[in-house]
Amino acid sequence: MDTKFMSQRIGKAFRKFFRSGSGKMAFVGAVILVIFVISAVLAPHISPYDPTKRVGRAFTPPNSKHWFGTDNLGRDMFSRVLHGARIALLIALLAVVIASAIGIPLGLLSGYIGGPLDRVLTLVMDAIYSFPGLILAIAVAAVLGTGIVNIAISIAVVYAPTYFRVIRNQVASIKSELYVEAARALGANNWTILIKYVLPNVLPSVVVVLSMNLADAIMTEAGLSFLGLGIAPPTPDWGYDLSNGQRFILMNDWWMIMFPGLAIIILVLGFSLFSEGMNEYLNPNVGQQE
Amino acid sequence: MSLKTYLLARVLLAIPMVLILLTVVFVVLRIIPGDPVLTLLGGKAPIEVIEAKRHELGLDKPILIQYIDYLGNLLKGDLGKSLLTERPVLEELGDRLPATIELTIFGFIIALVIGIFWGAEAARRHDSVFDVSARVYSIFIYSVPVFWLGMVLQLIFGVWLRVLPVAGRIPPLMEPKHITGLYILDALFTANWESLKEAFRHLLLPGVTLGLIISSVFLRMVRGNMILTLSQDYTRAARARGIKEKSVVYRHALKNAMVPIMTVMGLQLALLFAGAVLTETTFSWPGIGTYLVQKIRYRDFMAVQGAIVIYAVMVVTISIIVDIINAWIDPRIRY
Amino acid sequence: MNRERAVCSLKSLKVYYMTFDGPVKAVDDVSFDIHREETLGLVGESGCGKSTLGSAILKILPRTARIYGKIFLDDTDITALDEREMQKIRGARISMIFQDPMTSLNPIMKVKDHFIETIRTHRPEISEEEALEMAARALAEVGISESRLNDYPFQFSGGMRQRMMIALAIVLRPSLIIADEPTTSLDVIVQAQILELMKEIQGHVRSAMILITHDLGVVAEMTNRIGVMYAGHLVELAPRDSIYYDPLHPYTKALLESVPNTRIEDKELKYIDGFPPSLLNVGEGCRFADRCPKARKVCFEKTPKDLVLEDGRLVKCWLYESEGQVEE
Repeated sequence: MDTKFMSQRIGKAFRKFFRSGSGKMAFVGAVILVIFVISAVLAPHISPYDPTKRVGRAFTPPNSKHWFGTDNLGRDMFSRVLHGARIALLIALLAVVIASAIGIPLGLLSGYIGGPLDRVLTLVMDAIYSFPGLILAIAVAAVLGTGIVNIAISIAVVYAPTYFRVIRNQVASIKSELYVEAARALGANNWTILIKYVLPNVLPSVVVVLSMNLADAIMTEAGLSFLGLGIAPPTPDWGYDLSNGQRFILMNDWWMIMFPGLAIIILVLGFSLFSEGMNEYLNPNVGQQE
Repeated sequence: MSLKTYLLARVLLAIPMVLILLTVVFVVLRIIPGDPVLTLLGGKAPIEVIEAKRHELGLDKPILIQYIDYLGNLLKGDLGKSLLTERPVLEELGDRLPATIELTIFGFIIALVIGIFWGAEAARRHDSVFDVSARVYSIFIYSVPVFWLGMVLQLIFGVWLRVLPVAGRIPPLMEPKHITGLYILDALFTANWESLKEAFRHLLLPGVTLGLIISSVFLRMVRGNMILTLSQDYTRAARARGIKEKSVVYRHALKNAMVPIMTVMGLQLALLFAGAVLTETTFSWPGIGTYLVQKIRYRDFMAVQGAIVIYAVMVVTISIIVDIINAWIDPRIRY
Repeated sequence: MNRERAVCSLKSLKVYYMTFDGPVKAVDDVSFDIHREETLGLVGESGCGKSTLGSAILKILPRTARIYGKIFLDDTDITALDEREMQKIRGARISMIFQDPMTSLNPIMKVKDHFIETIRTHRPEISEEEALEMAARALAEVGISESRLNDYPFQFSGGMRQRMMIALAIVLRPSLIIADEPTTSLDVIVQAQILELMKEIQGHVRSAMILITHDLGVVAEMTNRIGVMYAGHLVELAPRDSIYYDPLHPYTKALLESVPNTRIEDKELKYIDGFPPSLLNVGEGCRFADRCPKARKVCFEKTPKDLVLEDGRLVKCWLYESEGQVEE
């Protein structure tokens, strides 16, 4: 087929994308993410009740009025799960933005300049990277206290080294590529090389890491609030709701833990499907041999 | 280079790593804005009391001196005293450590068994049902919060079926005689079958929870690396020599795959510890994780610092062990 | 012709790789016998199916491959054997030497463990000490000192590793050795040494050998008979000198003309126009027809039979239809 038009070429690329298993995976992930983002944005308008107020009898199992039941304070679980998506996504995004704002520039500098600066930064970042993420986040959160920004910072501290490592390694290898050498020989200065040549080359892997990190950040946030180090109640938060619900497990009030948990699982699944699919699609050489 | 020299070099290399980790802990807990004494005593405490406490903890000294004191004390094995109980932190942690180790090892074994056998079969029969289910399983489990899985298991086995305990390590007064602190081992050594049974019953749910969660990473690693080693020339050559399939898969392909697996696994142990904190909390398991969380609630910053230092030491220790195992598996590393 | 019973004989062997788009006919209808102490060279361009053929005899092909036809080892048809019985044959009665000695040895196993594993898999009654002695003898045969049994593969050079692979291949005295491009990845001087060694070894092991290579120089030195493969077909099979001095098949001729020849200085090198056909769903007709200067109508329509000429040579070409008999 002759591909004269851009639209044809895009169409062809799309067909190829959906014919591959990894493309389908990424698509399913993207659909999940879009649904969650929409419900998070629209939560105040579409949720049936105020998530922080008593709106029914406490400990009501799921029914037609309260789809996900009510909690020990008579709050509607469905509204809480819906609003919980806002907090989860907000904190995860904020954390990833902060982490990349620290990790990416440091990685660029470290990989590009090299030398002792590179060695020191790498050593420090590796040490942080090797440390159990959640425990580090717990320590920072314990010092900073609760609040959206504080939690986001605690999580960001954990993930900054990931960006640093990915960027640094890529930059270090791209730096010695011929086309970069050629640009330098033609008189391009360091900034031009960094911005025009190096950055565009590392961006694709950043997108994949970003998506994976969002999944991890949501898990870490849920973990922190499960441990009581997250957002202060009564703000609806999945991790908090889970720890609250656990107190009533022995009374068989399963709905209090089931729905916030499933919300976390599906959202994280969305991110990992998306990132995994994209990663396999962009770097198809892994695991393809017979 | 012999294994012994390698070992020595590896341990020496760990020193800067420990130093950096300890520094990171120090920086996080002392330099980040926020005052531990203020948070401990609350905003309403009289200024003299606060000052006195600060002096007692050495927090009024210049930050560099504090840092040197901190490192010096650590070198002596002194983690300070708990602000709350006034007991040495090291002693309190010593009481808790065996519980964490027992749980972690049990979880690790479960994850290892699932990861290795399922992963190897999935790699061998690439794209079969085995393989596809392994991929679905690992991506799904990766998305499950460990504490949620724990609760669901509590609900199923503790509440609905009523077959397993949902909290604690052993019923009161049934602890076996203290030898290693690991109840399972101690009960075995003292032939205390009642305790053994109870310790195992209590360990089962948290152990399985932790094991399932980390198995996803193991499974993925084993599968990916074995697909690679199974396509290598030496596996084909081994088949051509008539070596039995089991040997080809496990002795040739898996053993070669273990080196990259172990290396990443060493880093992934971080995941194990993080998972252990949440698992311990979910099951009220009296380990370092629950200790850490409790002490944070009481704002006992000396204890918090101590617990984190212990985690740092464990991380470094494990990374050394991993490297040594790698060197033992792969001669190319130690030569 | 050698009247002795063949060590191994292929009867219209076909190897097809199954793909979603249809079968890729990598080896199609190949028959030949090979006898004791004989070296048969299989030559052809890459992708002509010669390596697939070698692996097919050991049945170590990827799972997508299907084998049709028969392969007789002595009197047994090994295509009918199951995996467990095949394992007993591999390494003991048929062994293989691979192209890349750098990657064909398990990097984390000592040399001696390669030997012990191979020997004791096939002959569990042999003790470890005896196996070590056997290994030492085999290494001595290829000129490696016994003291190196405790070393790891990475401590050897490429040539030394290929010697080890040869020692491993002969330690159980197989009746057939398949050498798949055994010298391709080695440098020229080492190549010559390895070839010399293989000749010598075969002399006293007295096994049959199939030497698969794209290097006409190698087959010229090493082999008694040469089979020329093209696009999955065995197009010509004849004694070495006949192939070199009196090639029959147009492809063999073209192939020889495309190789630099030191004897005839000023002869112009020719190249063969076009490309080999895709083997996916390939149908009837001679596969060389597209590139053949002498192709006729029938060449495109029907696959030529394996014709046996009076002197016993085999050729798969319509040009010789009147001269030969169809082989059964």
